[in-house]
Amino acid sequence: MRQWWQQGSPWVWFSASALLVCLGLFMALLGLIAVKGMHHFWPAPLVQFQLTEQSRPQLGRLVRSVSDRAERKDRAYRLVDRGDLIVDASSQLPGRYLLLEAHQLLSDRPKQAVWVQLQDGRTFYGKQVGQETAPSDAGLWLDLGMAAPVLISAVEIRAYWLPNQLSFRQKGAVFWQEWRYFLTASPSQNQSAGGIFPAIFGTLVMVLLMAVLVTPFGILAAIYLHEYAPKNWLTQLIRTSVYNLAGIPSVVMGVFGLAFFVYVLGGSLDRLFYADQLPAPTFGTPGLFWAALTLALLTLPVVIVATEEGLSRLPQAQRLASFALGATQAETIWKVVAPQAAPAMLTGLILAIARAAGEVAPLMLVGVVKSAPQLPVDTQFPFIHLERKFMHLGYHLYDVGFQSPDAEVAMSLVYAIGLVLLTLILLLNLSAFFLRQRLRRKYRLID
Amino acid sequence: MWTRKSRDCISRVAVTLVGYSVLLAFALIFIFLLWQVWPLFQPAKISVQSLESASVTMVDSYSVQSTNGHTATHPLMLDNGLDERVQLQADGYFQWYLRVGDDWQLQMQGHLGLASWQAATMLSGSRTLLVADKNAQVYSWFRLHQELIVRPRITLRQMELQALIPVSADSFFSLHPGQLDWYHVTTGKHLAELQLPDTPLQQLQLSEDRQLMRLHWGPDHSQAYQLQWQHPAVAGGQLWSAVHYEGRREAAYVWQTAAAADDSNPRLSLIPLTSGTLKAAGYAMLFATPLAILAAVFTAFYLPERWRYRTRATMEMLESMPTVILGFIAAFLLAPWLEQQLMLFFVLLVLVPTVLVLCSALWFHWRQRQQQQAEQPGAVLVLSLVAGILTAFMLAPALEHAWFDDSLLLWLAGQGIDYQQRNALIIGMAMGLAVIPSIFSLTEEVVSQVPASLTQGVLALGASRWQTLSSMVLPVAAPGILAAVLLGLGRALGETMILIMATGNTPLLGFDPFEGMRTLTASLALEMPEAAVGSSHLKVLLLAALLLLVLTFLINTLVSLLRQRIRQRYLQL
Amino acid sequence: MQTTVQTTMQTKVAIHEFSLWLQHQQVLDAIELSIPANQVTALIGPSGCGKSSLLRAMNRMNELMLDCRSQGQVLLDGQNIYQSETDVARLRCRVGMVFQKPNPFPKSVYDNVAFGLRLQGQRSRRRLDEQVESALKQVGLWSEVKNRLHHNALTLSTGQQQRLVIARAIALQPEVLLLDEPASALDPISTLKVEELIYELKAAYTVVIVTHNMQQAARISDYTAFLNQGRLVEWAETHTIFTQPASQQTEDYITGRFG
Ligand SMILES: Nc1ncnc2c1ncn2[C@@H]1O[C@H](COP(=O)(O)OP(=O)(O)OP(=O)(O)O)[C@@H](O)[C@H]1O
Ligand SMILES: [Mg+2]
Repeated sequence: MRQWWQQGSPWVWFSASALLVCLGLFMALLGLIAVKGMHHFWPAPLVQFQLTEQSRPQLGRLVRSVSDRAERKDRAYRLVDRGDLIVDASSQLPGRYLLLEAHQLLSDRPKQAVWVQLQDGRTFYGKQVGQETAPSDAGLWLDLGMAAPVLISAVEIRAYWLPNQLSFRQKGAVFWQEWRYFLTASPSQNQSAGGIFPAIFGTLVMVLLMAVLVTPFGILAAIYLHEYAPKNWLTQLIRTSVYNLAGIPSVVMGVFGLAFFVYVLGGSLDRLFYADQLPAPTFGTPGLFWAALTLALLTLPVVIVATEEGLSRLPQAQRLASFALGATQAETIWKVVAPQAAPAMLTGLILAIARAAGEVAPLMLVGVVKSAPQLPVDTQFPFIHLERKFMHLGYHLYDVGFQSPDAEVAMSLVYAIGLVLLTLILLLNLSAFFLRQRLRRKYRLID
Repeated sequence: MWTRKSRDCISRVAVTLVGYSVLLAFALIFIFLLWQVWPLFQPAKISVQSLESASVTMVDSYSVQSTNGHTATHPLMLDNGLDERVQLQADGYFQWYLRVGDDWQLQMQGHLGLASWQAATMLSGSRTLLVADKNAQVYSWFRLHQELIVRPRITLRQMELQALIPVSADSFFSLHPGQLDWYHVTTGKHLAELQLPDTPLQQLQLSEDRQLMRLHWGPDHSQAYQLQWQHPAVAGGQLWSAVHYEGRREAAYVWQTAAAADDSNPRLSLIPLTSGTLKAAGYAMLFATPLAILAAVFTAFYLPERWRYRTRATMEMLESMPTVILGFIAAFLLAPWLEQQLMLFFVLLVLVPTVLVLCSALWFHWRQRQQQQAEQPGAVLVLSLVAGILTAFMLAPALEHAWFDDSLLLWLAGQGIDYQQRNALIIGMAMGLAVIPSIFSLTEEVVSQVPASLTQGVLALGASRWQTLSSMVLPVAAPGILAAVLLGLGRALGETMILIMATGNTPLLGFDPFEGMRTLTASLALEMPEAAVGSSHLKVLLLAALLLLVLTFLINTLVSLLRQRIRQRYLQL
Repeated sequence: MQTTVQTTMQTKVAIHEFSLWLQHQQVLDAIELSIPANQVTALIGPSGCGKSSLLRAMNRMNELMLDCRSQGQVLLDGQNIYQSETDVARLRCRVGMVFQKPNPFPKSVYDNVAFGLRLQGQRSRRRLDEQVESALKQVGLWSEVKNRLHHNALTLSTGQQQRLVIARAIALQPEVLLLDEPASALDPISTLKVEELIYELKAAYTVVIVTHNMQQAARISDYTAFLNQGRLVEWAETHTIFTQPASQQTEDYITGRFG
């Protein structure tokens, strides 16, 4: 036993388990988001339920089982979503979601059950009246379990299918179609339906603008620090400080952005150039440009660090060779050094973009909104509207999760948004990773 | 030739300019925040207003009677200018009225407990009664329903008192012969003083916004003054000390912004937010540090090169996981789950390590029986880990049934422990996950870079790998591991989204694991957009941002220093 | 200790009372040396004696080092290159330099050779082609790389890379060529090729070469200078130095008794 302890056997076990637990937790997290995000678009079968023995069966979507441990263990409930309600004075309906007991659910799943979503994002579940599989020209007659069937006109319908009849492949087709819709449409129904296109677009535009701002400044600052600045302790101190700034909290940068860029800079801009529109602020309020500028400042150290790393990896012999051929310092930097450090700069830029795409906290302060009426880029002069507010994937996720009136829809929608965000950032990181990989190989060749 | 040279020159100038401007921008962050925060600490001032601004109307004027003017027996009637009125007798007996509609209703009456007093007043617009006794002690009481609550006494600087004059809802003047003193009631601080001429003062007038004051010594002898006190909500040291606010039973650290406060006077103590930040970071580190360090050590020292590389790459990628996703999972998945399965959580926490220790001992024993080297087998380890987890799942309900009558939560409530769904345990796990990759990456780096000559020397002496690790590698790499932990801490202190989403955002003091908190970062993100430009609230938020900035900057500097040190140490070896 | 060399040769570079400090440490001490035109001059001496520094002094490359200070004159065709109005870039075109380790740019063979020419403003494709070809021919690399002109130069062998680097330097048609141990990283065959090359080059250029290899110095150089601890100990025609050195130090060094 002594030997067991002395050889550190339990510690090895502990550390191995720690690694397993860490990776396991992360994988579980990613898997969960992937599965739940995907699941959101997989056509769910519709079930039938009866509120009382006498009432007419209605259709609904089984959301999940609920067991309330605090109350009684043996009692399991089913949470059923019966779609948006067509308000009818005669029926006193308690709400969209019902907590049903097992016996209230009927076992048969009618083939005629229809899932239909309108252009405005409302969703209905009902039984199709008549035998046609496609809606006739007039529209779709739906039996919603109320007194009389309802006619939904064809122009109003965005999508519709009969989930209980679909084969696996047909479900797959619906799945992809819904994904496409999700990625390309605007949100509707108070964010709880529709797509997330403005959020994706806003994220991309903001991040691109940030990249445009951060690239020249980051790269030139790094070149200054590494090539032009005198090599002494002061430069070293400044360099360390800049590197340390890579770790400052993003929200602090947001605070600075709001207090300085928006209030001070934006306020002065307004007074100088947009005085006719005051007191309505133009740039004196959070907007796209300030958000991009703030994130650019936040990610500047990332770009500087990566670029400097690339510059210092470059063998001194390359610079000497260039000088020996009669090149000036500028020619050495721009013709020999910079091209060779370009992959490192690109890596830094991608890392900066990946970081910026995932940041939410500073954006909450400097320009993101839950729903923007207009996209920041459109066909109207000057095409890019720097002062507009915009939507952002990460903030959209937060907003849908926390401010949505419809918590149940929000719950599964948020996973889908999270999946999109995660995929975006993962792709960016992967590309940075492989770029760095290639970079290392290339330098091994030179050394 | 000239063009080449000039191009060189232009390039140098341009790059240098950009470099300077970037450095300047970074410096500007610090300078701007400092500049914004500076007025918070400006002391109050009374200064002579030379330009007679006649347009300002003085709304409140106080006639100063001759000394000892009110020692007569007639009761003194004081009011706060709004709806409260106190009738004070010379012997300290008082009657307190509240205006309801048009008539005054007696709310309470009694004795102040002072045999005699010199001067008294009610603060304008508040429910506080100030009474100065013969020894120049100013007592302050306020009415809370039918009760009189006493606040800390204020000792005046001069004995000879002529009058107490209310200035604002929480400050007053004490008028002495030849001097006017300005005091803050809530903190008892002396704010400013003004030397007066010897002529007896006849009248004192204040403007509506309390920025101007005019003193009259006679019909044609008067002087206007400016009262400067920009940030009364913080200037008395309320940021970091407990303050007894009106309407509360005792001194406390309160974070209550103007919008949330009942009388629109913000209460801006940074203690609850700071403690929230420390608490959140503390629990996260508690969760992340052991896991990350152990995992990193294992990766660096035991995993084959290929797997090591893969693990490292994975962790690097996870480092950039958006925290908004973690926060969401914590709030909507983890928090409800933990509320349901709190018992399971604790059982897991205890049982899994126990099972691991047991299994490792058994395995070791068994291998020795077989006369084999006790190597560490992956499969058995995974099995025992899974077994531990499964046992916990099976045991937890039974234990909960046996010990806590089926519900740990109810039992906790019975013990007077409040369980909030979004609490420090949740934060510990969610933010722990967010910082694990940072700690892991750096630890792995420093441990794996320990020169091989060192480890091989020890291994050659017949030590096991773990012995090598604990006796040689870890001590050598210790500064690096410390740097990794600090790096994680810096990240945890600055994290925002997880904290907004999964803490409940109530400013609470203390380190209770079952309670939520509100952190500096969350306050910044949530309150900044609403804080009015120029208000104390905004400035205090900027101060909080500056604090976070300086703190994380210092931590990162420490990290850099430690990393540099470890690099030098490795070079020497 | 100076041996005066009776020579009718024209002096290309004259170094006069030249001292150099690197990081406050004296590296060269009052060097007095003249480099005859169209001859090969070899610099020899123990490691760290300042040979490379002296070489770098001739095209002002020392200035790229940290904390460098110099005193004295280096005259190129009678002009002091340490005058403040000297165009350093132009100077380095006139005085080319090749380093110990081949350091081609990670560009194509062609672009490597054309690099300096392009800096000089040569844009004409045809002229560039001609000059690149002639430079490569001069170093005897043309036949080896003419089919891979647009391949990355890093794919060449080390010996080829070194000759490429020399081609890159002579493409600018410098007047003086400084070679810092050009053959020390090469195998015997490549070394031989480089030596032959140097021998041919002296027809067109003034060559200064640093070498640790006594045989090499004896084989290819016309003049030899021996440095020790930052001082010029002896300078003479090569066969004089190797057969009857004036100083004991030189003799010890050449016969391998120290250094
Ligand atoms: N960048 C520098 N900073 C400080 N000192 C230097 C630097 N470069 C060289 N030295 C010093 O200058 C002296 C001469 O160096 P140099 O490189 O000229 O010697 P060398 O004769 O070329 O030696 P080797 O034969 O090893 O190449 C040495 O003592 C060296 O330490
Ligand atoms: Mg040398």
